[in-house]
Amino acid sequence: MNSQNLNLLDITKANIRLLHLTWFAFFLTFVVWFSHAPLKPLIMEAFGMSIAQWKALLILNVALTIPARIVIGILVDKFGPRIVYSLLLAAGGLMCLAFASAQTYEQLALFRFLLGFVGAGFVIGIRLVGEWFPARNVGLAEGVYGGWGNFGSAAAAFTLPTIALMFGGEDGWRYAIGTTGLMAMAYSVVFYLRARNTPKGSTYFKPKKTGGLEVTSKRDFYFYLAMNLPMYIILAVLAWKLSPSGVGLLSQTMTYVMYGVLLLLCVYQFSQIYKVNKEMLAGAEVPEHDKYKFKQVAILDWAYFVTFGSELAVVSMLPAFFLETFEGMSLAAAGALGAAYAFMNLVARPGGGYISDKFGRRLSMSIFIIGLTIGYFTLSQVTGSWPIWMAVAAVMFCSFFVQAGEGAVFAMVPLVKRRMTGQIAGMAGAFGNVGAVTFLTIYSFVDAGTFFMLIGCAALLIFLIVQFLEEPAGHMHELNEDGTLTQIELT
Amino acid sequence: MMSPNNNSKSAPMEHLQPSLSVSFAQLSEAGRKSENQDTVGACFPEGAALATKGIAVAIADGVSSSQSAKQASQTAITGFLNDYYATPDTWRTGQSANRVIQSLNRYLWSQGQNSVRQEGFLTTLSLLIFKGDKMFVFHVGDSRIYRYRQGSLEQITRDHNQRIDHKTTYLSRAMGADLSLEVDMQSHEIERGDIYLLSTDGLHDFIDHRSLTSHIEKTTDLEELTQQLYSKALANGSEDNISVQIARVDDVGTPSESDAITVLSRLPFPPILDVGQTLDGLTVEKILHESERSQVYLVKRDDDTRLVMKTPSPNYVDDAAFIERFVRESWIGSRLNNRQVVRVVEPKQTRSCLYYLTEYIPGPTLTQLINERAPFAVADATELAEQLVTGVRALHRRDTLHQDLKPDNIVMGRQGACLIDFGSCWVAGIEEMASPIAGDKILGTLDYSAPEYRYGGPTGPRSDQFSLAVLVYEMLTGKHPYGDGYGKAMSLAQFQKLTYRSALQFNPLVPVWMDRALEKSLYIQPAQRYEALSEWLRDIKRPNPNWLTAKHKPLIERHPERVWKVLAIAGWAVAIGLLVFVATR
Repeated sequence: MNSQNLNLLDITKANIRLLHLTWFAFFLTFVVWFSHAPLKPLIMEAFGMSIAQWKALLILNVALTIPARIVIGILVDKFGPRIVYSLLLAAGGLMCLAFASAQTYEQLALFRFLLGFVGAGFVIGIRLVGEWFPARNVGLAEGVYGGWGNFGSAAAAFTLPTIALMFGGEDGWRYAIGTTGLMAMAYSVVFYLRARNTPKGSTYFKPKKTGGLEVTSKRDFYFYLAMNLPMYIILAVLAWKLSPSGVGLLSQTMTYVMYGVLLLLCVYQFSQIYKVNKEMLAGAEVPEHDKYKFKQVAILDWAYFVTFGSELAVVSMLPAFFLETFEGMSLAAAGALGAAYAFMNLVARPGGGYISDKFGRRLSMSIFIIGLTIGYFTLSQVTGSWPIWMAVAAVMFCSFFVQAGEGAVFAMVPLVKRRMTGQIAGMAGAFGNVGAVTFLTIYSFVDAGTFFMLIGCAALLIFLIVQFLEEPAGHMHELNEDGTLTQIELT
Repeated sequence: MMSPNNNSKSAPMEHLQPSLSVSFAQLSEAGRKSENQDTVGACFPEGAALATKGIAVAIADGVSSSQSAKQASQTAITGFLNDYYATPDTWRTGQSANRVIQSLNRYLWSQGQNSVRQEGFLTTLSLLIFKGDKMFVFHVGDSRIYRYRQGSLEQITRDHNQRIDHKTTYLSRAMGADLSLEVDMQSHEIERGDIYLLSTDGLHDFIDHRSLTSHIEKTTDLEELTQQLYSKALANGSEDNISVQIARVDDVGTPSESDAITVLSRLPFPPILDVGQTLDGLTVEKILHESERSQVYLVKRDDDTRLVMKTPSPNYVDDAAFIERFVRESWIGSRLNNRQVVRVVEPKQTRSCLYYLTEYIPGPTLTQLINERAPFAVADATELAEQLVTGVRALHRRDTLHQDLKPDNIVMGRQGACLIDFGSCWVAGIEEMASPIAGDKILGTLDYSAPEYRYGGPTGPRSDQFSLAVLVYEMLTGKHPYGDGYGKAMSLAQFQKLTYRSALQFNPLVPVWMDRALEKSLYIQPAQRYEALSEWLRDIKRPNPNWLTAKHKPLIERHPERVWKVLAIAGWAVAIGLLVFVATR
């Protein structure tokens, strides 16, 4: 009903300029974050790694992002998005340089782990774009921000192998990755100089309540607590994976320390959640207009788990998958084909939001998830005997539904409970990362075909969960033929 | 019982209506005297006035040595009840009542002075105002106000009596006795079940404290209680007029948050409108401005009048504090009538959703003007400053602080500079009313708001003065007086590290005295700024004789290059001199 006009070329407008600045910052964080994926054979050769070690590296890359999102959220609340994004880019660039110059597998692992922090950049931009755009087109603006930024992983896959070969020699990959680090550092300065927290003359309002999400019934409280467990469980699995019983990066004592830290974090978070909801639990009446169903949040979380989670996981392994499946393919070509997956981001993510606005939430979400299930089952069948174009088509088909699903999740987030949009979005984002760690952990046990098959199975399960999604209270108003508005009574 | 003559109802204020409820009875009899010189009165308004003004109960005892006692007490009561309800809604209760009492006092005093029979118009006055969850007491003379709470009776006023000897006491304070009058003021929280009793000396001098308590304890019917007390005082030998008023608080007017929101959320948020759409007979012609918090449209009414419609952003559809502020914004505007402040227009059709309308002032904002034309000519800046002061003073007179003076909030119309946004206004009378919805603390715009907003000092009209001075400085120079560091400072210590940058640095045409006036109004400490905007304006418009020359500064700071040139020349001269000296030897 509302025309969402957003002229992205009109850079005379301050908020369009800011949008371009911000999505590019996010884009660079993704380039840096996934710079290793397309260079797999070069890095493995340089360090003489085993496949298990490589796969552990992939998981490490996304593990720290889960807690980092929370830290970044707090920093943004305190210092504002401009400085935090600049610092994140600069720090990411530095760690990228350190990764590029690593001399042992341990160093490599450490810096990959730390680079997981860069993955939390998404949160910052969402806040910043929200400050700059009016309600009319903030949804589309954030779609552009998220979609175009995510495209960064495709850009990395597309270009880095070529750059590495251009530098040549056995250190070519180091220069290629180092270049992305330098770019991020240079851009951090540009961003600091050009970006502003708010449009000129507006105040940056700090959000009132941070910490736990407020829920509105006792049942929802326990539900919410339970929904937080997967994060800790998956991190504990990761710690186990790194222990001597896994790849042996951590000593047995360190592993126990990790378990302890996770337990403490869990207790702390639960106490925060309790604090926010204390009054409700003590029996204080929740006003009718304030009630909402936590179920809705949980379903969106799981939908994001399978969409964004699988995207991060697949993007990490796809270039190598092409290289290994199709014999005689060059590194650059494999990278380029791997990029096909994230390529769809440019249109699919904003498009998913649009379709969800137009055709109902549950229906569109169901279709996207069924689509991606079919997509992943198809990918699981890809073998070296397939023509390459068909494999690429399958990848693009699958990624379209994955990214449209992401767009649909974020289009619905503000409708659950307007006041808590930020926290709900944060929780969904965290589940996306949990998904990534989960799928990559699965990948570390199985081959690519089984990996795709298992994602497909998870998606089927989540398709069932999505059927419990309730349509949020519909539009309040309808437009008559003559351009006048009819009010529809809300209860 | 009287009713106030300005019982205006204002729909947007509905949500602040407390459920305050008070039962009441009163009695005033001549007793054994021939004439009743006491007057009692009370006003129980309905609608908005109940929230903004409250319930007033007043008792007055004309001083019997004066011949015009009856007239004096009547003037005090009717005068008060009429004038109090006519004060601007935005004044604080204390301020409203006190101003009314003072002007009545002056009136009674002048009546006494002009009296042909040379008699004073003297009266006591005790009054009680219930508002929200509070009550306010104003008291002059020897009438009394008692509070009965949980079984004990307490006299909450002090008799203004002077004891000459053990038999004789004189009234030491009364309305109409002197030009200046000190009024005792108190305010207390009220509780459900509180009973307040107002009486004149004909009653309380003849019933002791204990039997007064036991009467209140035993009798629940207030009418009956007044009768009992009257007969008792008469039986105990009261020779004076006997008057008593009794008020019982049945419900305290604290609106609970969920009540307030239920009323508020009755009006839904309007959707995002497109050009050509019509809402309540208003057709959108243009989208003037959109932000993360609100939308502003240019709309055309059926009669072709162009108006501006402001709607809240759906981002805040469940944020009670935001809605409260939005509603308040339109209300503040509708109370003002000044050429330099935009007029709020009541819609012809009933509102179907939450928005408000103002007149449309075609013209650029001050931001645009500064971007195009800064630095302004001094005369232009002065003229704008004067217009802005007029507008801001109109707000201050209504006990309202603007709190967000910035170039975007000022439109240049035919009448000159015009303030257009009340979104951050602070209104004294409103803050006093119990409003349980917590608001955001940071208001205003960092670059223009006074430092005390951020370091947490006391704010007041001088905070607006600071913002005005920043505006004038920016018009003259295009810069901020404290530079970029100002937007980042958060604590008092950080602010004190900043130094004022003289406007002359950026615009040599600014007169020295004007720069000094700006500097004074831009002090970090509010106490060091001008007392009143009028003083500041005077110093902006005309040279302050104390400031005709530049501040005394060491020569090296004023003309560093000249100092160094002279030193260099002197050095060379000495060298050449020495050379010549040596050569000639």
